[in-house]
Amino acid sequence: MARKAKASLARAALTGASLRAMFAGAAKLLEANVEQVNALNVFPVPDGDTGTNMFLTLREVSKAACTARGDSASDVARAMADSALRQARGNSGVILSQFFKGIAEGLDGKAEFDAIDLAGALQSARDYSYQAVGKPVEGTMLTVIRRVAEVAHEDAASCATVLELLTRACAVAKETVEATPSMLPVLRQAGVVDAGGWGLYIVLEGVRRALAGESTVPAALPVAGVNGAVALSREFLAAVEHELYGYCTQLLISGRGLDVEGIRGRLMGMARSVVVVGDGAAVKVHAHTDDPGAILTFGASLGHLSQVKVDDMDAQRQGFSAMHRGKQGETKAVALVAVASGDGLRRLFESLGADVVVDGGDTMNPSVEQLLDAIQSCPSQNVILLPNNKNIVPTVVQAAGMATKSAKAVASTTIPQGIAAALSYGAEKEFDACLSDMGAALGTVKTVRVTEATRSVTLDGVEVKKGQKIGLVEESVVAAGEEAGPVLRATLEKAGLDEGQLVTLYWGKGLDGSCALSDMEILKEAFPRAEFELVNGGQAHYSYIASIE
Amino acid sequence: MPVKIVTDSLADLPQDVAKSLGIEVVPLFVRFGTEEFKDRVSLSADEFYRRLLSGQTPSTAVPAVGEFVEVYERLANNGDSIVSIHVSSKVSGTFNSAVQGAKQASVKCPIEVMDSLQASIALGLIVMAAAKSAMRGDTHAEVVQVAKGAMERSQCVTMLDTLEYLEKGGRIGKAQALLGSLLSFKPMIGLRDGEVHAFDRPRTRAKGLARLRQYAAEWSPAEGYCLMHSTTPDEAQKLLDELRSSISSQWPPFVARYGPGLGTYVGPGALGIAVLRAARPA
Repeated sequence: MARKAKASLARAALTGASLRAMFAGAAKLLEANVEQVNALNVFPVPDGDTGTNMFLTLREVSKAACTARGDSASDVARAMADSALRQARGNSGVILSQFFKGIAEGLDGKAEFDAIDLAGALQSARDYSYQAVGKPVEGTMLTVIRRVAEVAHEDAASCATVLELLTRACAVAKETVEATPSMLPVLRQAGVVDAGGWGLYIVLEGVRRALAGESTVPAALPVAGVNGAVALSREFLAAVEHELYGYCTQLLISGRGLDVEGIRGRLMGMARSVVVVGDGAAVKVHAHTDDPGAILTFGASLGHLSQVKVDDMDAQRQGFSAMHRGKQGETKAVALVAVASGDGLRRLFESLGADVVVDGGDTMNPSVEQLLDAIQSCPSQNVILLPNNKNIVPTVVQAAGMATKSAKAVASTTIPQGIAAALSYGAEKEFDACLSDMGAALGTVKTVRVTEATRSVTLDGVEVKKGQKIGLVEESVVAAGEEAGPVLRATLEKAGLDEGQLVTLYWGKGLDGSCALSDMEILKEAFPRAEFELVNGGQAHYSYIASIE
Repeated sequence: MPVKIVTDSLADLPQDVAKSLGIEVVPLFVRFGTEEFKDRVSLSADEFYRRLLSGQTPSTAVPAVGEFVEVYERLANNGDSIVSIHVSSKVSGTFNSAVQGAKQASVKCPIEVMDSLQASIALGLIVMAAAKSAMRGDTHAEVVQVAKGAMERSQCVTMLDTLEYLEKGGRIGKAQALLGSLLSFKPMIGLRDGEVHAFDRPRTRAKGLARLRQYAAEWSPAEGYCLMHSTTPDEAQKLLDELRSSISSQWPPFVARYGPGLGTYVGPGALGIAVLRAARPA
C-alpha cells in the first residue's frame, strides 16, 4: 500500500490549473520568438508568417484556458481545443488546432492527468495532426509531433512526473527539428530548419519551463542547427534570387555604435541586392557587386571584419539558373540559344531564359560547330535559336538544319529584335506556339544603332567622315556627328517617337554608365512623351543600340 | 434552395453577385503586422490599397476551421446539401481548412468540398456556374458536375505592374522565371494546374493590353467573363467596352476588383481578364 501511495504521489498528477499555467508560459515564450520563427518560414510557401500564425492561435488558446468553466484537466483541455479550432490562423495554426483537439480527446473525462495520460493524449494529437493535412510532408511540424508522440509512448512508464516526460519530449523535439533539413530538400537549399517544427518545439519548451517553475524572462532562443545570422536567410534568399551576376559579397562587421540604417544606405549606392541586418555591435552584410574590394574597404573602416565570403556568381550562374527554373537535369519543353557579344547583352539574354549564349556579332560569326554544341547542351529536344545579326542568320539556319534535335531559327537580324523575341519565349510553351509568338515579336520593335564610320563616304545621302559617329534606323544611315549622344538624339528624331513608346538604350563601346545616364537625361527632355530605360549592353562596335517599341 | 454554395473571399465575387446568387463567402484574414481584418468584411478594397500604397506590408491567413464548421452547420439547417468551392490548394491552405471544417461539422447533409485549382474571379465564375445550377433546382450531384465542368473551362490572366507583391507574399510559384530579368516588363501571370505560371512579358502596358485582348479573343465564345482590376477601374471598364463586340457571352460581362486577399499578391495596378469558356455542345 505504502509503495502504491508513493508511486502515485511521485506521478504527481496535474490539473486544469496546471494546463493554464503551462500554456500561458508557452504563449509567452512563443511571443518572444515570433520573428525568429517567421524568418525560418520557407515551406510550403515562403511567406514568413508561421510564427505569427502560431502565436495568434496560441494566444487565443491560452485565453480560453483561463476562462474555461471547470477546473478539471478535461474541462480546460476542451476549452483550449474549441478555441484553437475557432481561432486557428494559417496552415501551422490549423495543425496546432488539431494537436489541441487530440490533447482534449486524450484527457477527456479526466480531472487530473499524469505522464501516461499525457503520452496517450499525444498519440491522439499526432493522429489528428496528420489527418489535418491533405498530403503530410515529413521534415515539418508533423514529424516533430510524431517523434514526440513516439518517445512519449515509449518512455511514459519510466517517467515519474509529467515534467520528466516533457523534458524528454523537448529534447526529442529539438533533435527532430535539427534533422528537418535532411528530410525536406527545400529547407536544405534555404539553409534553415522547419519553421512550424521550431515553433512547436518553442511551445513544448514553454510548457516545460512553466511546469518546472523556470520563470525566467522569455527570450528568443538560438535556432537549432542554424547560426543566428542564417535564421534571416529568407531575406537573403529573396535577395539572392534576384540578382545573379557579379560577386556575392558577405561579411560581418563587429564594432561599437554601428549605424545599421546608415550602412545600408551607403551600400545601396555601391551594390545591388543589399541586405544589412544587425545591431550596434554586429552587422551582417550581403550585397551583389562588381567590386567586392570597395565593400570590404568600407566595412573595414567601420569595425572588425569576419565571416567574409566572396562568391563569383557568374561561375555559379548555371547552377543558379537551373535551380531557378526547376530541378537540375529537368528538361524544358523548349530551350533557347542566343548569339550575342558583350557581357551585358549576354547576361540580358540569360536573364530572359536563354540556356546558352554563343559569342558572336558583327565581324564575329560563330561557327556551325559552336552552334551545334550549344544546341546539344540544351536541356530540351526542342531548341530555338536567335542569330540577332543579319550576317549570322545563314549560319544559324544551317546549324539548325544539321542538328539531331529539332532546332529552329527565329530570324532576328538585330539585338533589339532578338530581345523582343526572347521576351516572348517561354520554357513551358509548346514548340510551335513558342516559335510563332517569338516570330511575331520580331516586328514589334524598331532598331536604332550608333556606330563609328570606318571610312569617309556618303551613305544613304548622309555625308560622313572617317571616325565620325553615324546613326542608323534599321539598316539606313540617317545621321552623323562627333558625339554618340547627339547622334543618337538625331537618329531617334528621324526614327520618330510616338506617345508612350518605350526606348531601351543599350550602351556599349566607348561609353561608361555616367556618360550614358546623362545622354539619357537629355533624351528624356527632348522626347518627353516617350519612356526610356538604360541597360549596360557592353557590346563592341556600337556606342548605342536602341529599341523603340 | 436545396443545394447551398460556399466559396472564400479569394473568389473576388462582387457582393451583389454573391448575394443575388445566394453564395456564402467565407473570408480569409488580411493582416498588416498584427492588425487583423476579415477580407472584404472589415477591410474594404479602397482602404486596403490605400495602406498598400502607403508602404504597409499585408499578409493573408486562411479562415479558421471553425469558420467553416459554423457556416456549414448554419447552412445545413435549411439546405439539403452543400457544395463548397475554393481557391487552389497549391496557393492557399483555405481548401484544407474547409475540408477539416466539413469533417468536423455536425451536419447530416452531404458536403462536397472542391479544389478549383483557380483563384480570383476565375474561381468566382466557377462558383457562379454552380450557384446558377443550384438555383435551377439541380441535384447535389448535378451541381458538383456543373462545377467540375466549369473548372475545365475557366481561364484567367493578369497583367501586374510589379512582381514585388507576388514575390513578397511567397506565391511566385512557377513564375520564378520572371525574376532576375535585367529588363523591365509588365509580368503577365495566371494559374495553370493550380499553380502560378508566367504567361507573357510585354515591355509596356499598351502591349500588355493588346495581349489581354488576344487572350480574350482566344477564349471566346464565353459562358461568362469578367474584367479585373486592383486600382484602375476606368481602364478595366474601357477594356470591357472594347471587348463586348469581340467576345460573345451568355452572361452579361462585368468588372470586378481584386479584393484585399488577392491584392496582397497582385498589388496595385493589376489588370486581368477571366473567361469561363462556353461549353461545347455535347
